[in-house]
This record gives sequence, C-alpha cells and structure tokens, in this order.
Amino acid sequence: MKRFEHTNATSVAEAVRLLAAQNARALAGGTDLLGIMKEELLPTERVVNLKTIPGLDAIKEESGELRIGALARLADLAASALVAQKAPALAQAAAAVASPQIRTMGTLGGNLAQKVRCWYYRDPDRADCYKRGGSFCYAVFGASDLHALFDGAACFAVQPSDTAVALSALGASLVVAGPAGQRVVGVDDFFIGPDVDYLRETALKPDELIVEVRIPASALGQKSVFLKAAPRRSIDFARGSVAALVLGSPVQRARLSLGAVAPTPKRASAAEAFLAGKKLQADVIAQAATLATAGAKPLAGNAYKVQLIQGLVRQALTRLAA
Amino acid sequence: MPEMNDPGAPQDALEPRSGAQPADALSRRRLVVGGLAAVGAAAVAAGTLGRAASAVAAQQPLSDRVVVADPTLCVGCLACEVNCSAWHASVGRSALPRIRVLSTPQVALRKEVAAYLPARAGYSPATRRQCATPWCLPNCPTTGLRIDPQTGNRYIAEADCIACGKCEVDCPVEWQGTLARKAQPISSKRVVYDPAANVYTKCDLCIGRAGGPICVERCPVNVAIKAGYVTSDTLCLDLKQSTEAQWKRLV
Repeated sequence: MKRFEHTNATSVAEAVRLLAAQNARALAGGTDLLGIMKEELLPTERVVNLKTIPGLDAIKEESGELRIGALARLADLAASALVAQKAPALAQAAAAVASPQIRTMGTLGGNLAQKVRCWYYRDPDRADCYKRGGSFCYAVFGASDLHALFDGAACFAVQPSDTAVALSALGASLVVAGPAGQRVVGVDDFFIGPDVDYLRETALKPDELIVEVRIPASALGQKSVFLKAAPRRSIDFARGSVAALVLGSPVQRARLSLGAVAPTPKRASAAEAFLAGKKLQADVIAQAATLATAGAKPLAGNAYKVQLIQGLVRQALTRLAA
Repeated sequence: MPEMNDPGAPQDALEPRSGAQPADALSRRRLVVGGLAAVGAAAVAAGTLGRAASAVAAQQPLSDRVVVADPTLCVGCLACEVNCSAWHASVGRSALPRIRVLSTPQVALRKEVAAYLPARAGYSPATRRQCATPWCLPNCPTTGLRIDPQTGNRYIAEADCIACGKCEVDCPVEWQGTLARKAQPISSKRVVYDPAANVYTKCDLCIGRAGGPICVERCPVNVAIKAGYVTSDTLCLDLKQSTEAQWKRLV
C-alpha cells in the first residue's frame, strides 16, 4: 500500500472540503476501500475519515419517512426492530451482506458506494480493463460467470451491493452532500451504467458523499422481501438477488428489483406492470418470474443467472403472497 | 473518463474557432464562392440555386474511407458506442455516439462467434456514411461542415456549427428502429442534433485520432478475430475504402 494522508472530518462540510483534494477517498467502514488501496485500483493520496462526523448513523422515522444515516452500520440495520417493521427488505439485505465481521464494520453508505467485484477488474494483471482506465473487457470472450445479463456496455461488471437492490424496490432516495450543498437523488438514478461512464458506478462526484437514505412513507410497513443467491451463504457476493415490494391484494403496485445481473440494480419493469391488478397466485407468480428476465442477453458463462433470478422471483412473490 | 486523445493530434487545426478557417479546408463558403465560379456561369445562368448546390455537392471528392459493419459478427456489447462517446467527449466534442447499435432480432450470428456467445445475436451496428454526394455540405451556412482535402472525410467542425439544422434536412440516411441500448426507439437522420452541446454531429472517422476510428479499434470481436480467437475473413467493424458503388450498396 502506498503512503497516504489520513484526516478526520468533524462535519459534513469539512468532509466535502477535504474530499476536493486530488485522489481523496472517503473512509467509512473501510471494508472495500482498504482492499482497493492495497490492490492499487484507485490512486489514493488522502483518506478522509467520516466516522468522526457525529450524528450520521441515526436510524429514525421522521416526516413520515424512514431516514437512515449513511454511517449506520449494516449490523445495526440488520438488528433494528424499526427497520424490520417498516422496511423488511432492507433489514434482510443488510443481514445478507458478507460476514458478521464485515457487517460490523461496513456502513450503509459504503455498501452503496462500493466498487465492482469483477474478477478482471480486481486482477492486478488486467490493467487494460475499462474500469481501470483501459480499453478492453475480458468478460466478453472470457470467464463471464459473474457478469451482466442486462445493460452491459463495453464493461459487463455488475453492481455488487445488496442494500442497493432492496432500496431500489423500496423506492428510496439518497441525500448527497457536495460543495453546492445537498441534493436528493432517487436510488434508480444514483447508480449509473457503463454507457454513461464506465469508470464510475454511481452519480457521486469525487467531492460528494452520501449522508442519508430516505425510504418514502408509501413503502413503510408494506410487504417487502429480499432474497439472495450466492455460492457460500456465510460470506459471498450475490450471483443473483431479488427485492420485491407489493402494495395491496390484488396488487395495486409492485416494485421488483434484481441484483448482480446488471451494472445497476435492475428494475423488472415488465413483471411489475404484469402484476398490477392481479392476485399473487401460482400462475401469476410463474409468469411474473418469466417476465422478470425478459430481455436478458447472457454471455458465455452467466446464462445460469436467468433461471436463478426466475427462481428467486418465484420465491419472493410466494413469500409476499402468504 | 480517461484522457483518450492522442498526444500531438492537431486538434486546434481541426476545430478552429469561428472565422479561423484553415487555409486548406474545403468549406461551404469557399465552395459556394469558388464552386460557383468553377461550376460556373451555367448554373447561375440557369438561375436555380438548387442546381448550384447540387453541382457543389456532386463535385466533391469521395471520402477515402468509411466504417462498415458486419451484423453477423456483432454481439451487442456496445463498446463501439461507448468508446465513440468517450473519445469525442475527451477531445471536447459532442458526446453523442456517432455509431448506434440497433436491435435486429432477425440477424443471426455467424457460427464462429455463436460458438462462444450463442445468446448474443440480433444486433446491427449502424454506422454513418461518408456520402459520395454530400448533400449536407452546400446547405451549411457557416464553415461547420467540411471536407478534409487529403482524405475526403466529411466532418463537422463543432466550434463553427450554429445548430441551424440545415445539414439534417437533406441527409439521405436515417436510423429507424430500436436501440440495443436499453431498448430505446430511435428515428432520426444520421446527422443528429445534440441538445447538450447545441451542435449537430456526424461520424468524423475520429479525425485527429492517431489510431483511426476508435469503434474499429476497440470492438472486442475485432480484437478476437485479430488474435485468432475467432476465425473470420471479415471484421465486425471495418474501415474500408469508400466508393460510390459501395455507398449505394450500403444505403
């Protein structure tokens, strides 16, 4: 690891100012950043410690919304009775992240802002990968087991965050702080695909940080679920995941978001539209599961994700029907 | 985005500010002034500016190169579109892709590529033409539309484009269909307006880039073919000699 300056921020404004320096990185739990620094995937000259900013880890209901500070630890989210009652999909997603050690250190903001886990991106010998500033994607003709079924564009790495998928289904928005103040961004707009910029996964600018996540009143207390499939249940990134929110029976509105199959959380729009006005019966659920993967274009190694996602959607909707 | 411009590429010479027309570039103004004299009195005597414009357009040298696509080799990875946008943005030009990949389910993949990626059929890269007769050129009221005197490359010097849209009017080639990118519909001429930059764009064959068109260079199928990984006697995207007969075939 190369030498770097370590600075403790005491306020959001100070953190924003410190992040304006060249190659400055925000540090929360550090479970992703330290690996990136060790692997020298991103040049890092200054680390801005956000953990010293007071009040950014609150989990509270306010103005009808569930508001969660970006520094709330994943373990706290998973254990929160308020989150479990108001937004069960988020509690389940937080509990599904990695291992107890990582959940104890890792924060919600960090989980949303993490870099991709593509094995070519993380391979020190693949410096010509697009995300490393290069000009090639090895996954197109290479080993593509981990890669995108949807929306690949030059780069086929998938968004690895579990909580992002749950927040997408819950229709959450993020409060982002920067030099011009704060702005609110919907989760589905926060994540950007490689067609927009293959070097970034989110709309965060280098001198911006997430300060809060807001789940709208319309989703609170409603039926929602998060399911994840991974080779090792005890600690692994998703090979596929599903978060679903269903309002009413018959369904008034459904939101289905898929994880680990696209560069962003992928809304299953065709399935959502199909479910509107229907009861969650076996045939409806089966058809929605099929529609969830409409438009999937597998590479050589990831066709298994089509069946995986369909199975997860069936399970998720069956649970919500109960 | 990384800096993808090639060091030493003469960008300033390619895109001067308005009024700083390079001496050797063929602009509409020079063509109308000089062209009318050369094409001549006959057109003026006939009294139809339309004929004069036609004569100006018909008089232009052919572009020596054009990007040609083979849809049977395209796997819809969008590397061409993404790199086109990124490179043009990196040199200060409009970030709109000059090449678009259309969703064309009827197109089958050649077996050499399908052996690796059987599910990735049904795409057609739609390139822009270097028209044998550039109808856009005489319509341009500024020095925006140009023809490179060495290569015949038809390009837009965006610094001189006033976004009047006259180049679009007579453009004979259209994009119609559904984009592979997020299944968005597309219906436009191949000279396209970019509202973000307030200019019109078209394929400029990556003029100023030492390696030539970036779409050809970065296409992973091309890379696989050149590396011998995929056997094919043609490339997915190729830079071919431009002839009038070939242009008519492509249209």
